[in-house]
Amino acid sequence: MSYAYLFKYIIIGDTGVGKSCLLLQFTDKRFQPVHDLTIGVEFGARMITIDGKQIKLQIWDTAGQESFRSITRSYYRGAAGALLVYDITRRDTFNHLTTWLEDARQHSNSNMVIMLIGNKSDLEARRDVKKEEGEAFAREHGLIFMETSAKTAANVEEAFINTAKEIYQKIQDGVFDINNEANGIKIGPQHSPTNSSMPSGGGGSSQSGGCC
Amino acid sequence: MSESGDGTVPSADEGEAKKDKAMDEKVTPKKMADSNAKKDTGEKKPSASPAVSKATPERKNKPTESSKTDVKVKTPVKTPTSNVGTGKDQKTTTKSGISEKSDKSKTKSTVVASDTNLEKSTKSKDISPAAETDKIPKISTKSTPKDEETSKQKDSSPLVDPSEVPLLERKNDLSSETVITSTPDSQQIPRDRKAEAEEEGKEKQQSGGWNWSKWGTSIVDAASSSVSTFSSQVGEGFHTIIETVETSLAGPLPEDMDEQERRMYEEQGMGDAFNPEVVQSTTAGVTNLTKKVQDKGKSIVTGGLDVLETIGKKTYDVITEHDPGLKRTRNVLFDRGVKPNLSYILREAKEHADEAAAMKKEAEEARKVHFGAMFDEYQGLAHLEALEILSNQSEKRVQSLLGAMPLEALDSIKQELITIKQVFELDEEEEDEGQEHNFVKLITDNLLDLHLGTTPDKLNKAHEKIRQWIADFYEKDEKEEKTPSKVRLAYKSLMGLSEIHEAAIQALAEMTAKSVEQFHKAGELILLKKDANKTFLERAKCLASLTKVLCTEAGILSSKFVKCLNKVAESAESEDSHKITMMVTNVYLEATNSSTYTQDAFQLLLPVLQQGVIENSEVLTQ
Repeated sequence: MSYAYLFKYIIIGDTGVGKSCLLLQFTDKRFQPVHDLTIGVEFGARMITIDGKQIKLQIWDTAGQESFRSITRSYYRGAAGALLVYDITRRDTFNHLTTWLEDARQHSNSNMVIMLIGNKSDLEARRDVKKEEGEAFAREHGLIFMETSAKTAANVEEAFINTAKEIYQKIQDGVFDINNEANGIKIGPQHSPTNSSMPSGGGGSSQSGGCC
Repeated sequence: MSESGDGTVPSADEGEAKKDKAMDEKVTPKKMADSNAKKDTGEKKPSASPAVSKATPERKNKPTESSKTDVKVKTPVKTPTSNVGTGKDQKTTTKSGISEKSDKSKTKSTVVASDTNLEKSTKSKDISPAAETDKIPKISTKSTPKDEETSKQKDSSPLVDPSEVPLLERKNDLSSETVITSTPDSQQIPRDRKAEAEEEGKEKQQSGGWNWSKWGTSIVDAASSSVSTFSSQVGEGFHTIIETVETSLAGPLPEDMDEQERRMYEEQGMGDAFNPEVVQSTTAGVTNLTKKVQDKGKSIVTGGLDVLETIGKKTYDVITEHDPGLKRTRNVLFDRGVKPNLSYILREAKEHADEAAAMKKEAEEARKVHFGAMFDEYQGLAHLEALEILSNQSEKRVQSLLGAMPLEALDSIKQELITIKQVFELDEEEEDEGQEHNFVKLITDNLLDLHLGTTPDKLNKAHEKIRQWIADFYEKDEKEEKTPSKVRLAYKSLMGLSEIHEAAIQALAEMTAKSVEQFHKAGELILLKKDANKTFLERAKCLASLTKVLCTEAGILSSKFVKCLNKVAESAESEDSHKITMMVTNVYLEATNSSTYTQDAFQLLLPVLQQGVIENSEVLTQ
């Protein structure tokens, strides 16, 4: 599939917050209640359309376990967008956000777009972190915020696509240097057929002679 | 004509004088025009504009004469004038006669007539002018009313400013030469005639005239208003046209007069025939009315025609001026084929859509048999990239560790590093390709030997899927062979070929991607699990043998797929042989491609293992 741009995403956050489930919901549109522990990093990819342009999202779903932190950190580099995920039913995952954020900021390029995601919004009864808290954190750190549910697919699409839109906007604004692959953006192979723009026959230039 | 010749007598006086002069003129042709004009009372050569202009005043100066002459002139009018003209013309033919553009037929006739006329005119001198005058009107009216008309129409132009006269009018002038004299009279004459008519044939007009005039006025009003609006509309932006229109509108007056006159005569005659009784006062009113109606009607008709003609001409001129050959105009007006219509646009759009869809389909198909694309789709590239990241980091780490390492430690560790490196230098010769092996067992054993806790699930699953496909193919093929229909086989073979090709490429891509993923995971786990029970050398050997197995498997799979292709090719027609060869080549090519990817992934693990060795040794030393 030809695409105009390829954006590299990373999904980070504590283990068990639903990173891999979010990815699966986004790429395969399905939910898997029991998911194997992610080893190192897993991948997913999907095509989206922004502003009429095909954009391929290459998503690196990292392992949340602390033991993998040293390895996953090395994958941050060269990501254009990051989904920082916490579990709204587990306050500790919310409390670790600062560490994750520092890690991400330290090991990635400064222009990386970060989307804060409060996952498992379907478990309203077990909510432990208020939406306002997430909003406040996002505001404080200059992140985009959204509550999602990988189970019900609520806001999953939006989370990925809004991040892409933000990145796309940054490209338009010239913030991202698309020629530097360290920014996590690649220009797609141009499979598009060369439009043979035929020179249109000269339009008759009617000269209206001024009479009288 | 002979009569008319008699009629011309009074003018003959002039004619004589002219003659004499004409003779002189022959000698000096240059003066001709002027002299003619004078002699003929300006009848001659309106074409020579100066002459005419001069002539006109003369006419006016001689009203009395004209009154007499008029009478004669009307009917036979041509004769004297033409005589004079032709007389000169005959001698100076080229100049006056021909050059004047006058109707050829006319000139000819006049020329012929002129001779006789000349004779007659000369003779007619003898006859008393008074007697003739009486005669003439009757003759004229009866004999040649049409001539009058034509001649008078021609007269109209002279009334208009001769200097300005456009082409059209000039032509009229030419023909009208002869008549000119009559113009002033014509206005008078009707009056005289009318007086007579009033006396004689009033009644008829009275009875029938009222209705007619009424009807006439209404028409006139409508017509005039429409003409005026028309001209005003058209007039915008066409000043020139309007000018000509105006002149032409003004022009027709004399004609009208003439027309009226003629009608008067007719009416007169009718009146005479029917009822001699007359009521003068009413008749006057009636005649006025009819006259008005006639005037207006005529002017409108002729004026309207003139307007149309001039507009047409002007339009044509304007168009041709900017559009030689009218090519563009024709295109605009008639060339509808060029104009895109809705159906054409729709058809084009549909074609575009079809084209795009076909292109998309083609691209999709091409992608499916493109090893690289499929390898990417199975996330092989991503894993390779991630593995590269790890490898690069490990390499840096190894360099920094080695640099910071004390010499003794370096020496002790050096040997282990070198041995591991040797393991990574695969002996390509050892590959016994095509030899069947238990893939699943080999893979599982090797991965277990790695002691990294990685499961060979994904690899084995992919492998199983591929083997199953091949098994299915043979099974299906056997079934098909039992019911061999040649046509179906030929069709199926073609479909089968590309199907097999696609399956082969996809299988290889998937296997390769899973292999790379396996190496990637191995690398990650090597870095993570430093508390290794197994030596890194052993792990390296395991990875090396794993690589071998994977590469061998790629070879086996490719030859299996090629066998499938060949099996189908047997039943296929010879035309496809080229296609089959291409596919076989492609499958083998991608098999080596797959091996290359696998080996590359394996090589990327070297720094990872080295890092493990060093870090572990460090731990040991510490």
